[in-house]
Amino acid sequence: MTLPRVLLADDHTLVLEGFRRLLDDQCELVGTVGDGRALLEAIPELKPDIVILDISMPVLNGIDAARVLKVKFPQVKVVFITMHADPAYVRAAFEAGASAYLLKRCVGEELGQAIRAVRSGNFYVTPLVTKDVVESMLRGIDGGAPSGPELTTRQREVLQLLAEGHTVKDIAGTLKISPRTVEFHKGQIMEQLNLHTTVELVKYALAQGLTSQT
Amino acid sequence: MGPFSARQEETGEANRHSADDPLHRRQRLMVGAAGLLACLFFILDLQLPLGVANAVLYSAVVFLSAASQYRWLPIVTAITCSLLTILAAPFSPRVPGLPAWFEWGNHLFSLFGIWTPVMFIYQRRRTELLLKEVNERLEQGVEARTADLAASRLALERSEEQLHSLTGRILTAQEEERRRIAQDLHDDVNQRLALLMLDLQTVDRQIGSAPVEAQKGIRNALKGLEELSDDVRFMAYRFHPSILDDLGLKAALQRLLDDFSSRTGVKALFVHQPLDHQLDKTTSTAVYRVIQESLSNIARHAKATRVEVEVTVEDEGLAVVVRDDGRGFDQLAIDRAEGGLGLLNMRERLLAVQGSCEVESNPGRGTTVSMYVPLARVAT
Repeated sequence: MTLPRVLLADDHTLVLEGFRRLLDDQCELVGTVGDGRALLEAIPELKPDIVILDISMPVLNGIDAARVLKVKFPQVKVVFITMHADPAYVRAAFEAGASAYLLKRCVGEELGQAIRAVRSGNFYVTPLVTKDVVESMLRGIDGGAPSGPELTTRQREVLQLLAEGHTVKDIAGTLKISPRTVEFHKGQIMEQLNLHTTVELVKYALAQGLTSQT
Repeated sequence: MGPFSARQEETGEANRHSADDPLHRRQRLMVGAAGLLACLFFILDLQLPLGVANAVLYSAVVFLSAASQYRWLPIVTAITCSLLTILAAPFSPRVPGLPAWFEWGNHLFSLFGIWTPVMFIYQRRRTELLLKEVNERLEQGVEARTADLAASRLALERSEEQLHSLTGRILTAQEEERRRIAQDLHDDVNQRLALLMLDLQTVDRQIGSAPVEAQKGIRNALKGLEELSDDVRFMAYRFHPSILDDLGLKAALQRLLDDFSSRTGVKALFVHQPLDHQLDKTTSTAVYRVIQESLSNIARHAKATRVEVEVTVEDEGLAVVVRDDGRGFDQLAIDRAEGGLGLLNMRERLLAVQGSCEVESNPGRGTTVSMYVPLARVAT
């Protein structure tokens, strides 16, 4: 297996220097850049197999850069190496098209393994964050996933009015919010309760004793 | 009869100006009545001895003329009445056996009776004039005071505006400063710590043959560094949540609520409508901070079991509602107490981004904080 061509993006010269030493025997470092925009500009010329980048960068941050990068150059693998252990960051990184997520403090031990995984088409997430990520996944409330059957006061108001047969426009007038927001609430409620039609919605409201009509 | 006809003439002149005017007609009538009365009393004077009661009767005519609009009329009437009295004196019948000085005294008393009302009337007029002048001066004073008041109110409004803008600037500056400190901590201190750890890990790998104590020492140092790095990261987050800049308001709020729930055990529901609006850093930071303040109020005072945060789009703006089911508070009491400071801070923060904020609470029935921030629509 030939050494992979790696492009490094980080705005900290010290970090770039440290990574350079680490990467020396594992890959061919084709270049280093200091921000997301410079990274996107450098790719056509340097043709890397793997891009290693940080999230917090000036001009264009790593997440946004990765998103554009995966659209323009889908074959290039993206590896995030950051300071952020927050599950929200991990989620955002993989949504943007990342293949691996590492923390800076574990790079020495894990980078080689991560690069091997990425080259063979797998994902790699550092064990340092997997606990939080799995926990948040189990809670199911991270990153905008439906927060279960419990509804907010406003959602219950909307549900009741819908079940009582009022139109979206009427409800908007009653609650003094825009029809778009009513539609949004309706969609959210149906998603959260895993309902697919208005009939199901009305049935649910009746079962919950939410309507004042008999 | 001479003076009488002269007065008739003057009356005619006065009437020529506006004969049709009802007011002037009344004036003319009054002058006529005064003349007629004077004439009547003159005849009475000629018939009765001693000019009995003429003083009183003539003074009534003078009083009558005082009611007229013409300011000269009382004087003219008084002169006429005096002349008539003097004229009648030699012709009035005499009472036999009474000394002459008695009659003359009577006539003099008549003159006195005629002129006293005139004095009285003019005294009154002078007082009226004085009063009017004082009134005018008072009015001017009031006007000046009113103008002064309006000016100071304007000045007050201006300084209030300046205070708002200053508070806004202070808050922005503070936020900017905290952002910078957080960035320094996160991007500089922590990156260096990470590097140190990398170096130590390298050393750790290279000294596989070293004594166990040395290896242990390095492992301990690594552990310490890791903890330090975590602390620094937490400090940075406390100063400014970089997640707000990196991943946006929604992710930052989700993180805030997750932290809130795991720290306090209060269940948090989060509803967030997707934005097609531009949310600049200042605005999203203000919204984030106000929600953060609301949550910390809930954690400290509310004893709630459930919190709802709703972020929706209304009329080109962001509407945020933070609702809890806690014990609420008496709104009137809070305005006076120290608790008002947090609310004031929230208001000022939103005011700095042209937003507004309302708090509604009743003891035992939870608290609802509603805020609204206008947004700039993304140009497409």
